[in-house]
Amino acid sequence: MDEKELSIAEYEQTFIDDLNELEDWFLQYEYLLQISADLPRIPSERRKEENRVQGCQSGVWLEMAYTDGRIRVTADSEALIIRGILSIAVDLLDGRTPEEIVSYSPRYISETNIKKQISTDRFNGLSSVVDTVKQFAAGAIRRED
Amino acid sequence: MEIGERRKLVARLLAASKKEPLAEAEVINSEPDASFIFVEEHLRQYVLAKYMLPPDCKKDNILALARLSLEITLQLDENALRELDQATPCNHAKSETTKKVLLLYAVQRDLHLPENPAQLSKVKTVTELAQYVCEARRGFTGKNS
Amino acid sequence: MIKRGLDIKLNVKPIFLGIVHKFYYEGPCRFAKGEALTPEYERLMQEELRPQFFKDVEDHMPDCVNLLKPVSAECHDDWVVPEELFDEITAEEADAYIISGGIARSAVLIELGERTGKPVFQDPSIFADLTAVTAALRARGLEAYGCRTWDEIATQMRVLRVRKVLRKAKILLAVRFDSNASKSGNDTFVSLNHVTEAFGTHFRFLNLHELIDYLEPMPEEGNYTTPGRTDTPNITAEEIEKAEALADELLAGADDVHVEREFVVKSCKAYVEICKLLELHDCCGFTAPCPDFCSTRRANESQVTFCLTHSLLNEQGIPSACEYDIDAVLSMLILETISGREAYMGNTLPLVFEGGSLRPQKRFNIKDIADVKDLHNLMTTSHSVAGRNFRGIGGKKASYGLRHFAYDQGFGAIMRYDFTQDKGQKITLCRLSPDCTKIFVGSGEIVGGGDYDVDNCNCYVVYRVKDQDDFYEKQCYVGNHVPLIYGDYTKELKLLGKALGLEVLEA
Repeated sequence: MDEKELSIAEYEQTFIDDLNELEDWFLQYEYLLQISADLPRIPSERRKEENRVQGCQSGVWLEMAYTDGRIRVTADSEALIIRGILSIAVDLLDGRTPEEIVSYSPRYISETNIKKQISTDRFNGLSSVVDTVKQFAAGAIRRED
Repeated sequence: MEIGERRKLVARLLAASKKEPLAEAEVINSEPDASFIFVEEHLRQYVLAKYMLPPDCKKDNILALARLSLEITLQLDENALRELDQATPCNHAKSETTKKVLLLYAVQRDLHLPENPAQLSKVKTVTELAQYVCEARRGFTGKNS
Repeated sequence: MIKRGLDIKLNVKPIFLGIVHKFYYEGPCRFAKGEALTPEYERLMQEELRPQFFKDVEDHMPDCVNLLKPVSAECHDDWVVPEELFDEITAEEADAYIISGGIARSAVLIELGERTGKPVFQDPSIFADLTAVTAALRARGLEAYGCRTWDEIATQMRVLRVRKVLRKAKILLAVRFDSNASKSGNDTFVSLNHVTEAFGTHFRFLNLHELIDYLEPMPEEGNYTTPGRTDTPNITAEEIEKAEALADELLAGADDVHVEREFVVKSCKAYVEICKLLELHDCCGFTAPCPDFCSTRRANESQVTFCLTHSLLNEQGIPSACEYDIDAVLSMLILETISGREAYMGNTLPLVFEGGSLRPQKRFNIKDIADVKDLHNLMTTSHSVAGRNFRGIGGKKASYGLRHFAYDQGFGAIMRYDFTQDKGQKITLCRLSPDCTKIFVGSGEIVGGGDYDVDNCNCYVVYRVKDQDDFYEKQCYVGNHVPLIYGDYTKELKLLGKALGLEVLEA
């Protein structure tokens, strides 16, 4: 199945299913670490205040671009577990249209064990990552208009 | 990571979890005349699986393995120590001691060994544990391993 | 061999009390999960914890502790405590117990304290029982310590060892008149019986004239002081040879020598003889009077003083004081035992700052501390004899000089030490009060010294204390000679004061 044929919500469901099937937090953690291996690093010279996500306990950096009608996203963090969770967000949102992103409501944290395992601050921080991408997407739509 | 690869990852993680130590114990139990090398190889995998350590971990000292396991566990779950406290209700054992005793108890139970706390507690390494298991089993079969 | 206080160890019995519940159950105070509720698991845990505890004890006990045979017992939830357990524990005479117990075993510890009256220590990881059992024992008038760490236990053990040393000590006293005090040292103990009651220390008395007779080989008809007695412990020819060899060794090793060999030999004879007497009387400390001795004229006739004896004994951790200051002997015994370092005693005097400078004082020259800018809060210990082991008994001996006591005739060998090389060194001072109710604990830092090149017992050290007013006011409760050692041992001395039931005067 080509994940890009799926909607963001449908694709997100595959992650939710994976995590819930694993049940045990240790296994979920290992899962998140393994999938984060594919997430490219943002090198230190590109980690600046302007692309740092506010409200995140560990440093989180976000890079976005709007190219050929698609939003390009990449993210990075100093904390391994956050990288794991970010890799899901990037996988869901990178290469999507602004319209898809603006209409997306994330569930993969709130409907899995991840929510119980991370602090409220981290939960809010990760939510603000998706919000930041959504705001960027909304801006892209406005510019087009 | 593509959806298909993630499915395989989930399957792998599930297999590696709780089932693995019991599987290794069953392998040992199914060979009552097993050699020391055989017992040692499978017992080592049993211990590493119990402690959620990678299968290529070379440490032999059980307390050191317990400490390593604790470090990993605590990174995943800060409440893990409280669970260990529950395993030493009337004693003031250190967490790594508790982990070691829980392991020795599990070995005794899963390999159906006769109780011999004085001898079993002298075991310091996985190698010594394998020697103990072989000697304890000789008491069953009366044959040399 | 002389039995020194330093050779006495504290006998400590380690005891491990494990717990094994006989059945699987949960309830108040028994909360666990799964296998941890089984007797099999608990037996395994006990086997694991016991050697860990005994190893912790062995690893953390200071050198002054002698560990007795450990005892281990399994306690159960049927609450039966067999008498055999107490029989086994008390089979050896212990000075203290160190126990790993925990919940539901505290009654055994309390009963052990009640039966033996000996101090009880617990494994620091016991947590709640540390305070509970300690309070329970103290409320019964018994001794217990709820130390939070192994370091605290080790410190307390060192303190209890000093207390034991005081209790076992016998001090050799060379007496001419009053066995309590000499003509010049009235600030020593008011009553030696009281000292025995307070600390357990005992005394052996030597007649001063008989002692001086012992410094020469016995005449055929016996000594003048004990005519017809031919069993007196006079110095022998062999011992004289030993004294001569010692004298030559001291002369060869000195940085500078300003005394004739024959006088060094005479002083060494006194030392060798006193060592023999210490061994004969099983004593670990010595003192002889000064004016009482001097006024017999026998020091002059024999051309000997005890100054070198004091130096050489203190170097070995055998406290030896001049002026018949028995208080100083005990204070030095405390200091030498707690630290393993030689103690130094002398007149402890304030350098009084007035009129913008220091008031002139005998046996002090302000030029000796020309580099000291701040002249406030200075004290000096002077008119005394030094040794070579201030940095540790049994260690490398420091450089020294040899001079003579008597200005005119040049007899009485005296050791010299240059305190100026120890500027910045922290020191601890201590003296018991004459009524055995207080212990003075002082601290300071050396800023200089003097009189290295002056004859007579005139070596001195200058040190700064925190507050001279406070130091001096408290010193007035204990007396003139306040012995000192190198290093900071104030914590231990305060604990000792508490262990002896003394009021601590800290300055």
